[in-house]
Amino acid sequence: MNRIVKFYHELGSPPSFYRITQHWLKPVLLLAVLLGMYGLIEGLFFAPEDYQQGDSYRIIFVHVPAAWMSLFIYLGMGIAGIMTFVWRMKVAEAVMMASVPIGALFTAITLLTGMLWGKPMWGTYWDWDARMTSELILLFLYLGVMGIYSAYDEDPRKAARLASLVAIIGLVMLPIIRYSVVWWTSIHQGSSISLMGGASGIQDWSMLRPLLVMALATKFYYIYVLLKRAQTYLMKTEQNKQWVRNIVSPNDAKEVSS
Amino acid sequence: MMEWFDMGKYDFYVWTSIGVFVVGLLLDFINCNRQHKALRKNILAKQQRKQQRSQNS
Repeated sequence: MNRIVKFYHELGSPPSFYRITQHWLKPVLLLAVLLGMYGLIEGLFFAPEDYQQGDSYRIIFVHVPAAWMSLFIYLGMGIAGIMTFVWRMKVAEAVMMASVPIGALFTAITLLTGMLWGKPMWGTYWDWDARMTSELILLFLYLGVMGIYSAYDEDPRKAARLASLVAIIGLVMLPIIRYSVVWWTSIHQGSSISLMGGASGIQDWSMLRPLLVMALATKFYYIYVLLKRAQTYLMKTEQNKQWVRNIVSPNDAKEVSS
Repeated sequence: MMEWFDMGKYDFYVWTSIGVFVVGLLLDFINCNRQHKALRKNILAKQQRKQQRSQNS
């Protein structure tokens, strides 16, 4: 237990966070690429055709992992927002702000791929249905956090505290999006997998496997960009500190002078 | 070979979705790394300017 507490405290310090996470970047990116390639190839070329939707269902292998990530990242951002607001932790600030672009991107991908799946299945690209509308609101929340932070550019710490408020308030959207297809009549289909082993969702392992692999790939990619952007954030906000000066190596001096 | 890429009558929808996903993440990856490198260069340039100023004075 002592080790975990020590590790937690170490991660809370910007120089230690940078040093520790620097070793994780390459393995995490490699896992994301390999799993992504495996998941896409198996999902697109080897998974069996759906008996109702034919080959159009293969959009699931990018749409559903992106949708899961849009919610998962917002949850992480909200928790980091609480830590920013209550404890004013700089690393939590960095994690919160690093989550925004990738969360917004996954939400946009979810909406776009959902539209492309909707057209052949429902006959329309868009419907003001509870699931689609709530997902669109989630995109606006991500953009709102980004916008508020940019508006107070001269004081990044104040900007992060204000942005964290929006992130925390937006947490209320997560159960609404998750249960929108249950609470309201919707043209959107129900959950793609059932954690309780119920009869709903995908039952065939040869379809489920690439979906779960893609979910893992997107998680690893998120970890990679989260760490990289958090490092950038910390370097930017602490650029006058000695640890940042030490990181900027003499090799870079040649690049700048050339 | 073309049979592999044939998605019944849904080619456009499936391949555009995969394209949106892959291109989106690729651009994000490039942007993320470019920002990091640009910041490093910027910080270093500032440090060098500071050093030069202190040497001159």
